[in-house]
Amino acid sequence: MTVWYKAMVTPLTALVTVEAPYTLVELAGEADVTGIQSLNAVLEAETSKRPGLLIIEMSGLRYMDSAALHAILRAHLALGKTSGRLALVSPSDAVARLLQMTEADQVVPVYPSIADAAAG
Amino acid sequence: MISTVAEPGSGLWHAALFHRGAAEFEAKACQFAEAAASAGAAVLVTAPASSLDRLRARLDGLGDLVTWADMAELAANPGRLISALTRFADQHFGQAIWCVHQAAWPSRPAEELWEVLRHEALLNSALSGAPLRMLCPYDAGLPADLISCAEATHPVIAPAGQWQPSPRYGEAGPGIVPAACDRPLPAPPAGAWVVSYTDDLRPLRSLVSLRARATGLPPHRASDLVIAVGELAANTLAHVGGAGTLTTWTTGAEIVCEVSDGGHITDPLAGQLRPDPAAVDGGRGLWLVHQLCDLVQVRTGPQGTTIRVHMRLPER
Repeated sequence: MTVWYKAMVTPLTALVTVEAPYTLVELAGEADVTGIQSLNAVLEAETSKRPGLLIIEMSGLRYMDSAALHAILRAHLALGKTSGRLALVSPSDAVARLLQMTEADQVVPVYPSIADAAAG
Repeated sequence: MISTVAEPGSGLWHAALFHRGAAEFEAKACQFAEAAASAGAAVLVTAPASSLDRLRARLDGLGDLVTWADMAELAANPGRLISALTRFADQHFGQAIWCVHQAAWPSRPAEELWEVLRHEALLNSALSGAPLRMLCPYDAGLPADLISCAEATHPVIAPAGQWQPSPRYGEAGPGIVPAACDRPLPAPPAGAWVVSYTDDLRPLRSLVSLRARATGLPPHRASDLVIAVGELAANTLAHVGGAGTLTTWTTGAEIVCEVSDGGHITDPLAGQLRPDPAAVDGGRGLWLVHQLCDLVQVRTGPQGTTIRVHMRLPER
């Protein structure tokens, strides 16, 4: 029996604001394998609405593992199919380290602010 | 001149050079690099800083034809070397590559040397199709069991100055890691901290962070260790189910974290190959662990998996 997806222990919060011309997802806390179903659900719900731009604001995200990174890369892939784009904003040091080590920051653009991401 | 066993361009040529002392190695390495340059190959020299400095002084004339890589910067952890070699090959696509690859030197700690030998075994399968000629020096002063493992993991050796097929190569099967590399790890010390985990991984990461910083690991390296242990524990939850155990201790020279669970990693190349940066289907965790830690020891079988990662502390 596996219990790892138990939502009550998920240390991650996602605040979604749909505000033309972009959708903003603010992640806070720690995004790891235990919260992966919630993260996937939020990102899949938002990408399925085919926004032109989806911004993930990460300054409150203290930690992210490769399972969460895969959820973000899947969102990038899904948006690419509908001519939308994904932008990551202000990752903390630990999250930036993961993006840099995996070279995911070469796949998905990273911006210092929401305004920069919106300007593209 | 260096004679050839396999013709250039026919895939990997992987040779162990058993030498007595640095002078013999350096003379052979220079011959090899000069032959590479005259063959129009890209030359890569991966060695510890002391060797690099001496070889560089002697090969000054080859200039930009040679890429120099300090083993301490390129891959303190031997588990990173296949990724690094693949990257170099990608950067020189279409070109033959000749590499002087000094990863085993007598003063290197035994636990690292055995991981070097694992790497030597794995690259025979991982890089079998690459247009790559590798000269790997082994000082005759290394322990006999290590030398014999080097004979078993290199298809080519030069016992009397002439390259010839290694009679012991592939004793375990080509690309199979010799049993000597998989000897059980020494037991953790009595004072080690042991914590089990089943679902929430936050307490585990906090513990590693606190312990690493208290031990004197600089903040960015402590953060790397947290990422590494986090990936290992996440693998337990994602692939194994059930619980895992973290054991952690310090030796004065390093902090060690060991993650054990009931899983079995059946691919010996797991974590050795650089994943596609855009891949969305997993397989990054163990590769990341290899990139972040100074030494990674994996012991796996049907009974379960233990992965021990080491981070060196700054010298005081």
